[in-house]
Order: sequence, then structure tokens, then C-alpha cells
Amino acid sequence: MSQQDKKPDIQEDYYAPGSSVKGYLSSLLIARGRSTQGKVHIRDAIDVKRTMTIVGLCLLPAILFGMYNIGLQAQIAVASGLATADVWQLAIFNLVFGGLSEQTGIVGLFAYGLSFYAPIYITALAVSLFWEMVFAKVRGQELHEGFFVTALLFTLILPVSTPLWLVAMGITFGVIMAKEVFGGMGYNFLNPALAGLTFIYFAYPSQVTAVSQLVAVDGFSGATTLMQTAAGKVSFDDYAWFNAFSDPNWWNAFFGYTVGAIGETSTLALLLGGGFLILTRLADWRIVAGVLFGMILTATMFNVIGSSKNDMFAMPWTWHLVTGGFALGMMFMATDPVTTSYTRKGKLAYGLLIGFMTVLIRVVNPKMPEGIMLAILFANLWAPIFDYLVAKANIKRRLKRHGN
Amino acid sequence: MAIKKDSFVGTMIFTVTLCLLCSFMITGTAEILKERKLVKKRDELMRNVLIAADVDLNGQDFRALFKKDVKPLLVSLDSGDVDTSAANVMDFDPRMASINPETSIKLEKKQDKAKIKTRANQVRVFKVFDDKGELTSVVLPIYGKGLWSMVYGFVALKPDLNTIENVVFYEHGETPGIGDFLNDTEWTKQWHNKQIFDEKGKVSFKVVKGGAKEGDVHGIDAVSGATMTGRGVQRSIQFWFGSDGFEAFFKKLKASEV
Amino acid sequence: MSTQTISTREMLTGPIFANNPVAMQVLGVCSALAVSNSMQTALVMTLAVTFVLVFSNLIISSIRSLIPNSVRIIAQMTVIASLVIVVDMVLQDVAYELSRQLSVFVGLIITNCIIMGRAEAFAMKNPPHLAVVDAVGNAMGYGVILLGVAFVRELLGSGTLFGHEILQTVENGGWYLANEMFKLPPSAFFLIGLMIWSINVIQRKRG
Repeated sequence: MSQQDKKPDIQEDYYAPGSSVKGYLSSLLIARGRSTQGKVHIRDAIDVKRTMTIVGLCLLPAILFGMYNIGLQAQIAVASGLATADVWQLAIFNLVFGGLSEQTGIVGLFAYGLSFYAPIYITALAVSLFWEMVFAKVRGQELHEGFFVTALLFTLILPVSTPLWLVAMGITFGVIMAKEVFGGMGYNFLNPALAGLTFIYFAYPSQVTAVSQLVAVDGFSGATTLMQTAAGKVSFDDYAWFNAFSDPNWWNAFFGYTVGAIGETSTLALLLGGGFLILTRLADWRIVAGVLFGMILTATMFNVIGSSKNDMFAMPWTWHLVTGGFALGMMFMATDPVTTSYTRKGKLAYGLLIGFMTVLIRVVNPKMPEGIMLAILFANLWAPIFDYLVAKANIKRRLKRHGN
Repeated sequence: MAIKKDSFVGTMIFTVTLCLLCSFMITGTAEILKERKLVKKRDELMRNVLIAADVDLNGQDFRALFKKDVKPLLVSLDSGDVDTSAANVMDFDPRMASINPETSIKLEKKQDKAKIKTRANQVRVFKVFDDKGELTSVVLPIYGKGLWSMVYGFVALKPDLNTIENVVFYEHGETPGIGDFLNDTEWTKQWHNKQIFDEKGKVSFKVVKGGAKEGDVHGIDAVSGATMTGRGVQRSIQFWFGSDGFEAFFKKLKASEV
Repeated sequence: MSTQTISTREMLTGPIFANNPVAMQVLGVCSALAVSNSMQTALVMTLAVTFVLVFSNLIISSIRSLIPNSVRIIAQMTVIASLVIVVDMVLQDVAYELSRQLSVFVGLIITNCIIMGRAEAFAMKNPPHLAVVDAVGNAMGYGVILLGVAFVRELLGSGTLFGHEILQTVENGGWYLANEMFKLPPSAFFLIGLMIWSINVIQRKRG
């Protein structure tokens, strides 16, 4: 086969040597007028950059609500007599709004959240951009836009008071160990944002697992619903799943007025953004359906089994849906197109496994009430196996039908 | 060579010779180390007893200390009497005694809470005295099955024969990294001043999963991930301080008969 | 492997870097994960493996012409197992506390593929003096990785080296917040992986 006969390969183009940082920066501002070469074929305008922009847009409701909620939770804590922390992040806020009080309005609360979230996001973005540039330079490849969403997702699953150096370490680990060592974007088998979170979770448990990290005030000591249930403080005895709909607490959790990591509290905002992502077909509905169904099935199973010692057994699926990072994980993490299965049946199985593992970890391991992040990483490892099995089953079926 | 090395006979000769040589190598090493091992074992025993009795070993010669303050006794468990006929109590080998059918009894499944199958008729306990000759504690050997292995330890009781002075677990083969808390002084510290028996004289000591409540005089915290090991320790205590263990000896001791 | 083409020096230095048994052949990784959380255990483990490897290679190479083909693996195992038992006994005598920390991993040297691999691949085919050189080289290769991993793990995980405080941790009133992950065995995976990566990159550069 001669060189000319080779099909033009989009992938090939991305990883061609030569184009580097400069090319990327110019392409940020000026659309690349690239036309088809060789034989005529239709090419969708969707590329990595547009994909990432859409994902970013879909995350926007959750981010905006998350920032507002940081302020809101801090305000509630301040109303209960705690003082805001004396940190540099609040310098501008204090100058403009004169400190956080019970009278602070919605704009003020939003600004309060922004003054905490912005440094975290800028750190994550800068560090991941740095590593992308280093690797792009060394490999002589073009920069890939993936880091933009990776940094975004990574910051959304962090507690608001995470120290910035830890943000930098986490994203460094995620980008290098989960992505770059395997060849960069498109070659990673683990979700880099989750790998980064897992790293800081195991390396510095005292820094991210403490409840006091979740609200941006001094000495906060509340707890999330998951923690409370795991500790046996909230009981779901005689609580059917549909009771949630008449429970104001559940609606609070659904809208997101609860304590939690930055972007995970509002199930509503995440469902809206995720729904749009499914509409654009960037997220596959099979995965989301699989996760949801697997979670409902497993939660119901635990409800039926019941346990007198572990209150997590009785938690209905409606509550599993609105607590912790479930919605964020289901809509945005599990559906990451690179690390999922590629076959349709494989995607369903992959989703089911995530749903099952999430509830299993949440219920059976009281030390680790948050399960979905670990469940997704676990399922990432299984994704290629599901594909293999689906392909093999297909081959078998076709052999039976057409074989000799 | 008359015999071909790959023939059946050649292979047999080679195998047997190699095995013999290798076993010589091992037994030779074991023989050389034997004497030192015995001394080590004796030292280890003395040190463990003193640690169990909560004696400060810092900068002290533990051998001299042991000789001065500790009185080893051979106790018949069923009668509770002290056997004074034994020449040297320190030479007593409790493990041999517990498996030798002549010096041990077989335990019924129901009795055998510690899952040790056979129990020696005699055990070696240690009375520890202070400088004035007052009894400060009684160090009692216990052992029982954890998850994988026998867990061996000493429990030292204060003269009321109820309050725990200290505890030492000196040998176990539990999961490395998980069962290791047995050797952790942070964990054994909890045992201090806990009580074995309740008011009615029932063994109430327990290892509580999820953490003992504040002010619980009988409970200590279990270590998560090591449920079976903790349960094994609790069962050992139940067995050894029950009717098949030190009960008879305690009765005699309280009545000052021994 | 023919001995004519490789010089003695290459035989000694090759396994340390270019043909490292742990990093390049991925042998003996189990113990490298388990005992590399402190320099002390890693050093003792390295010494134990060196002893067993050198003597097993020496003995097997000396009797290689006598070993019947049908039982050669068993014969190698017997020699290695005996040596490991000797090491274990001596270790228990000399450094009881350390041998307790190493627990089963000294015994598991028997199943360390590096030793079996060198016995079968090299000692069976080469004279004793070369076998010893090969054993020393491979043991050093194992030791370099093990000590390298242990260096990072102990320094970052506990802030110490050989038990001496280097970085004062927060618990002891210092500034260094210990990285808990390096206390867990999986961290050795990352470190060994990074080592393999860097060795590969350097190798490729050299051509």
C-alpha cells in the first residue's frame, strides 16, 4: 500500500507532530478553516473543542448553583453563631459587601461563593494547562482541550475549603498518572478527575474527608445526610421511597440547599445539564439509565434485606439519588466518552455496575459514605471487559447464524 | 560414571542426596542457633511478663528485676492449687503441656470458647510484687484463636482479681497490617483499669465493634477490618476467666490458700 | 543467553538498569510492594534476596551437570527453599523485630521469580563464577528498585529515612503533612510504574 492510499485519519491529524501550543492558542480565537481532503465525505462540525464547550455549558447550572450554595451554607452557619474564616479569599468580598451576615442578599451570597470557587478553579486550570503544555511540547503534539473539562469536574467534587496546594497536587496526579502516562487524551482508561480525587482522598484523608471542609466558615461541624445516616443519626425506618416526595427535606436536597462538595448538591441543576448533554448525544442515555436502574435495584434490595445495626440499609432510592455526588457522577463522570464501554450493551452493563457498586459502598462500608466516585473508577476498569464480552457474544451469535 | 544421571536410579540417587544435604544445612543452622534461641525465648518471656505487669523497664536490667519481683507459679487449673513439686517453673513448656494428652484435657465444643481444642492441666502464672513485698499484680497467660492463628498474650490483674493492669499480646499470625493492632500500645492502653467481671461475677469483658461507650468499664474498642481478631480476643478472655480457666485458682487465691 | 557475547561487566551492570528484573521483566513485584514502606525493611529484604540468589546460583551452577533433567525444577526449588529457611532462621535470631515486620515475605522469597528465573535461565547453563556475577547483578537490580521505592515511600509517607526524621511531620509539631497514600502498598505500583516509564524513555533516547 502506498502512502497516498492511506485513508485520511482525523485521529492521525490530532497527534501529528509539529503543531503545538501556538497553534492551539490561535485556534481558540480563530476557527480553523479546514476542508475535507481527498474523496468527498460529510464531516460533522463537532470536534473535541466543541464537545468540551458543550459539556462546560451543561455544567454551568450546577456551577452557578454551587457558588450560590457555598454562600448560603456559610450564611446559615453564620446565623447559628459561627464566624467566617479570616482568609485572603474574602478580602475583596469584605471590601465590597462588608462581611457576611444574615442580611446578605443573593448577589452577595453568590459573590461569597465565587471568592472561594474562583481560586480553586484557576489553580486547577492553570496546573492542568501547565502539564498539558509540558507533554504537548515534549511529544510535539497539539494541545487538547480535555483539560478544561477535567479541571472543571475535578473542582466540582472538592469540598470548598480544600487547600489550594492540594488542588494542585490532585489535578497533577490525575492528569499525569491517569492520562498522560497512557498517552494523553483519548488513551486514558480512568477518569482523570476522579483519579485525582481518589489520590487526595487516600493521601490526605484528614484534609478532604472532614465535614468542616464542606462549608466555608470557621469550625463548622454539621454533617451530610449520608454521614448522618451512616452514623445512625437519621433513620429511614418505615420510610417508603415515595414518602420522599412529601418530605420537605428531600426537596431541599433535590434543589441542592444542603451541605456537600462544591458542585454536587443540586440534583435538579445536574439533571437539567445532564439532560441537555443526553439530548446532544454527547452523553449516552444507556449509561445514565444503567446507573439509575442499578442504583434503584440495589437500594431496593437493601431495603428489603434490612438491618438492625446499619441504618444505611433502609435508605430509599429517592434519597440515594439526591445525596452525595450521585447525580454529578451519573450525569457527567460516568458518561465520559473515553473511559466507558463502546458497545451499547456494554454501556448498559457498565452503568448497572456503577449503580450497584455505588449503593454497595455507601451501605456496607460505613467508613466511606460517598460511593459513586469509587464505583465509577471501578467500572472504568471493567469497561473494556464488557466490550470484549459483547463483541464475543456477537461473534458467537453470527457464527451460529451464518457459520458452517 | 556407571549410572546415567537421567536414568531412574540416577534421578533417585540425586534426589535423595540433595534432600539429605539440604536438610543437613537446615538442621545445622538450627542447631547453631538453638542455644541462643532458648536464651532469647526466656528473655522474651520475662520481658513480656514485666510489660504485662506494667513495670517500667526503662534503663533497668529486666533479668534482675524479674528475679527480684516476680514469682512464677505452676497452677493446676481444675483444683486451683499451686504445684510446688516442680523443680524449675521457668522450664515449664506450656505449649507442650497443652498438646500432650497426658498433661491436658480435651475440650468439648461447647466449653471451647477460645477454640483451642485441648487445654493443659497446668499453667504458669506470675505473681508480681513491689519493693515492699506487696502483691501488685497477677500475670495470667491467655490464648485463643483469632481469624487465622492462635493469639497468645498475658493479662495482668490487680490484686482485686478483676481490674486489668495491662495486657500484652506477644505472638499472633493475624493478617499483617490489619491484625497488627494487637501489638499496638495505643490499643492495649485502653485495657488499663477495665474490669473483667461484673457485679454478679460474670465475665463481661468485651471488644465492642464501632467503639465502646464512654464510661463502659468492661468494653474496649474493636478495630474495624479486624472483627474476627477482636472477637477471638474477647472469646479467649471469656474462656480463660471462666469455669474452665482460672476460676478455681481465683477462688483459692481470694481465700488466701495459695 | 550466550556467555561469549556478554562481558562480565555487562553481566553485572545490565540487570541494574537496562535489563532490570523488577522494572523490565516485572518479576518479584509482590515483595517489592509489600516491604517497601521503610528503608530498613527494604534493605534487609534486599540483603536476604542477595544471599539467597547468590548461593542458589552458585550451588545450582556447581551441580548443574549432575541434575537430572526431569527433576531440575524441583531440585532448584529444594536448594532455594533450604536457603530461604536458613535466612529466615538467622534473621529471627539476629533481628527479631525486623523479621516480624517482614513477616511472611522472607518465606515468600522462595516464590520470588527472580531467583527461580536466574537459576533456570542462567545458573543451569553457566559455570559457577559467572553465575555468581549474574546473581550479584540481578540482586543489585532488585535492590535498586526496592530501595528507590522505599526511599520515596518512607520520606513522603512518614517523613523519615531509616527511622530518622527528615521532614518533621505535623503530628510531631513540624510543617510536613505526611502523604498517607505512600504508606499503602498500591503507591509502590505508581512508583514502579514511573520507574519503568523513565527507564523506557531513557533507553529509547539511547537507541
